[in-house]
Amino acid sequence: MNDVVITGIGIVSPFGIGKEPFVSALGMGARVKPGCLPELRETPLAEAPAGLVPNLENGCQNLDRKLLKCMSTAAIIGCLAGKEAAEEASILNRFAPERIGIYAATGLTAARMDSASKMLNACLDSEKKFSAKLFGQAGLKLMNPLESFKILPNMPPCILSIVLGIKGPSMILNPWEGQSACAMWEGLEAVRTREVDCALIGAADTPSSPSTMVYLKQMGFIADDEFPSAAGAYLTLELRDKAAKDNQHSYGVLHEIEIKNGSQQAHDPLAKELGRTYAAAPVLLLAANCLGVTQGHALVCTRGISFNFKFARNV
Amino acid sequence: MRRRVVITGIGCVSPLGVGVEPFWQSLARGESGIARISHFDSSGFEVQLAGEVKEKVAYPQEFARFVTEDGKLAFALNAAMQAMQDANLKEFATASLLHLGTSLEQFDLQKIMHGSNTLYAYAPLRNEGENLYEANFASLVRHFLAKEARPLQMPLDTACELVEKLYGKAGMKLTNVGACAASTQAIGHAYHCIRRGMFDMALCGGFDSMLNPLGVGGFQLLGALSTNNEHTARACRPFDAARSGAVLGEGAAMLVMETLAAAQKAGKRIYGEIVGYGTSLDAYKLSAPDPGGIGAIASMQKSLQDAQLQPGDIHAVSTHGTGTHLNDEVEAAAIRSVLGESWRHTPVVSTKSLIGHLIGAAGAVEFIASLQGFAQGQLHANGSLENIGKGCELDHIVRSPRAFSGKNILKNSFGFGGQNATLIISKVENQDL
Repeated sequence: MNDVVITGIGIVSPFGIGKEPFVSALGMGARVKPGCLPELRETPLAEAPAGLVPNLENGCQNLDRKLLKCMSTAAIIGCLAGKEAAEEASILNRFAPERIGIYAATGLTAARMDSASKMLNACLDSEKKFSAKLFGQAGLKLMNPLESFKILPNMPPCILSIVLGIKGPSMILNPWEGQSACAMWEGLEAVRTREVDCALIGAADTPSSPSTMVYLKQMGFIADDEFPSAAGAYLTLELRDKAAKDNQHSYGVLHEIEIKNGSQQAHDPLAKELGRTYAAAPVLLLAANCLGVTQGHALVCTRGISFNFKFARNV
Repeated sequence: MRRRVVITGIGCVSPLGVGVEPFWQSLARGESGIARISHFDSSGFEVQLAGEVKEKVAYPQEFARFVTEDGKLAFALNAAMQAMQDANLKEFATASLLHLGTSLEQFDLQKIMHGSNTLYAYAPLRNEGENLYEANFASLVRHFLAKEARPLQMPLDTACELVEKLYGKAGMKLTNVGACAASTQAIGHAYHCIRRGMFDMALCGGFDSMLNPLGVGGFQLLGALSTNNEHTARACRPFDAARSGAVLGEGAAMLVMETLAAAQKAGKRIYGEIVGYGTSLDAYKLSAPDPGGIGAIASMQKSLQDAQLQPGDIHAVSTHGTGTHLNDEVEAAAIRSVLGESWRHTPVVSTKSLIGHLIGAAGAVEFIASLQGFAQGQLHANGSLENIGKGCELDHIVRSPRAFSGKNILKNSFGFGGQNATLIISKVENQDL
């Protein structure tokens, strides 16, 4: 059987944009210093820690301005991570766009409070109750049509496909760690079965957005000693023979992804350092193994799905 | 030798009723499920029509608190129960796959504004012109963090979780968010998994509803919807010269898939066999298809290759057919390109003409309409097509159903964001067994 190797990695995390800050921080045993969200001041979550990506606006300079108007924070993070992985593995020079697939996951939809507030304010009737009629008459006029693209959960990977020009198969799942684990599994199978020549597998999630933080706290999906972090990661998979033929560096062989549907308590081995990154967590864990900054390879997802992989790192 | 994958159970909730039989009977009679919106006061909207599920949809009452939050969960549960019962299955085996497609979490503006259906106490505004919502944001957050509050969001994988509560743990559960292609992808992926031997059985399909103020309003702003509010039954007109946009609908459809060998052994009714699946990305624009139809063509060609069939082997096409100008023209040209000259005598079904666009559920619901072509020996008509639009030339079925004895039907679904998916289903005849 022809082995599947990992040839490109892209990471955006609270340590910074790119895999370099991720590697150096984790290599030194550093932990993310979470901040507090200004949107949540004067609320019970005023001091709740949240991991944010620093200087994300700098990364946006490399993205198409028109597309940027349609992009949520998760889409920006995913695009930056996906581009880094694709460029490292030179996949656009080595594979036909139709032979590259995207297998990805996205997180809970994060509605932006600031953009919603004006619109919602216009929908209150004289008794201060929400009126659908007023929403149609006045609220919609205050809504940016492009906001729809920011809340549809398939958009981040679709935008990545447009940015990179990828035209092969796709599968986009939602919303927790288990779904990105399944997307990774599907990408591995797609390369193995020759459905594609290259799979871009990954996820981006923004659980530290204000509305998502409220929800995670409300439902107990985050423990008191944990904090959510925005992050994204993408990896490129291809057959070892092809990588060798092209003299393409590989990080190692991804032998197996194992997923078991169970009901265990969630556990993310990188949560102490990075915060809970939910959909991005399984991809970050595999990436951290590739980069030699962690040995952990087992994760229990929010819905109890357990994720494990067998990876042999090139040394 | 690859395993053959057949459909042994189907379930459907649509604007034409609950259950497959009423759905088909209405389609065959050319009845439209599109009417004025009744779910909320749409009088302030430019778009005031939709394909709503009008019947009460039964579901296990233990899940009432979830359905209260997100009504489309009732559609998913009901369709899943129909399909499992139809296939005479009471639980998932270990080697079962659960794969459901949908589009977007429901954002209940009433709840976002007030925390619940009851108006909570707003803090008085401190300054003239102050934003009421922002001024009360802190108390809204406090409300949601209170133990008794309704959840702020309802994750899209809730349907999978509830279906598992009914039938036990599946080997793998997936929630596909491939927009309008989501449920077609779910079916196609499940087919590939069973064919490759990864799973022995799958419950797959889709469920959706965007018939709420934010859903309808968002699509209205994008200019994608018809505003022909006075002629609801003829508002969604796929491939017609007078088409003016899509009409949103809601519903769900689920299928049980098994290997042919398992279905035969259990003596089950076989609705059809899935023989091909293809998927592609446009990589063009977020809300418009590649004008050359490259992605659509690739998706159809991949499904043909997967099925090891030639274009001339396709005996009918179930289109994506949204009723928007660009989409229909691009799809028609892509179908002609893929089928070659055989397009002239390949009948074309466009189910959205009668039920609207069910977004994440669209592919699965339309798939069931196509499956009925085998069982009923006829294909339903495009209920609103009068004059074929320029560039939309195909062998459209108009006015009344057409007798059908073909073997292979190709089903297209093309999603927002540029995700395309195509399935090929085949009639299983005795000589095939």
